[in-house]
Amino acid sequence: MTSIVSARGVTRVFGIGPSAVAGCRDIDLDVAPGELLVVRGPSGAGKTTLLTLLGTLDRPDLGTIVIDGTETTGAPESDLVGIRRRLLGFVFQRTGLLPGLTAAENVEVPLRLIGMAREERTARVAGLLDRVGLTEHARQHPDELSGGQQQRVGIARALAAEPRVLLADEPTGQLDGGTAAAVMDLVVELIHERGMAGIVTTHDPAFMERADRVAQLHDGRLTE
Amino acid sequence: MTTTTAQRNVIDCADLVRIYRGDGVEVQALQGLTLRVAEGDIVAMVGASGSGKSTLLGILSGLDRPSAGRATVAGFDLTALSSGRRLEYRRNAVGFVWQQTERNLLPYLTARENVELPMLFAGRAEREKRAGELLRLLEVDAHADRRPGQLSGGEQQRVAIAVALANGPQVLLADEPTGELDEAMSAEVLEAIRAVNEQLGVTALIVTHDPAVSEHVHRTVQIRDGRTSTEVHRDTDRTGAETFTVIDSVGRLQLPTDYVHRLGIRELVRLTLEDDHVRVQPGEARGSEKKK
Repeated sequence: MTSIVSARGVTRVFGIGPSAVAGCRDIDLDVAPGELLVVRGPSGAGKTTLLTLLGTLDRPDLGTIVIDGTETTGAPESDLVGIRRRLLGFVFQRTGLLPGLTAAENVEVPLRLIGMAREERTARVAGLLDRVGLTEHARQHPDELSGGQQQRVGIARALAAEPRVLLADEPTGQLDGGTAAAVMDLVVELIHERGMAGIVTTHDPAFMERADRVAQLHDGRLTE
Repeated sequence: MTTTTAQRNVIDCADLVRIYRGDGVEVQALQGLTLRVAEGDIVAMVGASGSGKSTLLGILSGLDRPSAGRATVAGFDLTALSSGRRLEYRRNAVGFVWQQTERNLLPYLTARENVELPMLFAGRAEREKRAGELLRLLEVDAHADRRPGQLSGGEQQRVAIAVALANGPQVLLADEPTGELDEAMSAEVLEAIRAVNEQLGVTALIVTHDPAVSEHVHRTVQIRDGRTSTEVHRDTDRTGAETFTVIDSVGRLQLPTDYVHRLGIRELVRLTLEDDHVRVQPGEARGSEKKK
């Protein structure tokens, strides 16, 4: 199957001279639709750097990244905005939900950004909240929800614009055992059900068991 | 700055009690706390962890309700908020700045887009203009098109202040806004809060464990054991400072801990009413051995 995400020789170095630190070194990877790649590695191994580069939030010093046929590494910022909003879904460890918005509004954010019409937005948000089991919490603010519920809102938001790629940075890192397992199940199911390419960084061994492929990141180098 | 009675108290909390019950244990997190903040003032609330400041913040943010007492902010009675009123309160009456910058900003949006987002949900017109003005006031307009990851921690928090003010709230509530910043960036963020307080007239309450905050505000209120205990008032030019102790509606006051330790005060004190002051002396009952 053709991959949606493809990286070749991706290198990102922070600082200069002898104190320079390689966040990522010469990374090659390919992820196909509906495939879950789990990237594991100790803290500081470069997991977040890798997701930031794949997510077009930073550019590599060397190498190329292609997302759904577009080479993002050399693309102008104005093109990247569209790629981020339409092709990529982001899930963060500390959820990153906006505290001033309700759960439903947080999910609606990406739809506002792509300029979707109101009726369609309302229906899409309702469907997503139902899928993640939070219909009854639609009008609550993030701080009124449990950690697991907040992460479900974060997942629903990541999926709102129906992206082709889901990038999740330690999505269960702040959750306890049972809650973490339920959130993991949801992520795995959604990747398969929606045919997204999923790239998830984690320390959680249970996630690795559910992955289609597991890659190890160490000192910025990726091995499978 | 002293507060005259003519000024309206935008934050008006009196005799707040909050009791948590669970597993047969009862914790009294607030024990009759009183806090009044006049419109347009800037106040820091300082206290150690466990002092009750998080509990107070929970009430002020509309998340928690007091067990007893009065809490009114910007005309909203926080002891009896319906879910609809709470939504309105949190959207329009108060703006929040949190300690972790990733709770305040979306990493894939630019500074300007982050500021416009709350206005989009409130259906406000002229969003781009207002976002530009706020970013200029906070001196981050040069970075309007950068994303949070391309900004320093201090710059991110200044953008977060702009986000909090986007819908023109009467009150800005900042929870440890400098908790993850170094000294220089902390000063930068506190001065930014002072600037929006002075120029927009927004009433600001900064909740923190960092005593250095008091140098940037008019009034610093110390919270201890679930009550406001002492206050430091600073001149507008921030040269002189005076310390006060809070006395509640029934006449109770807390002596500063260092006074109590220095004079070895325990259990009882002698109070003497003089013409223009009250004298407090260490004193033990029934002529027991008296330490000088």
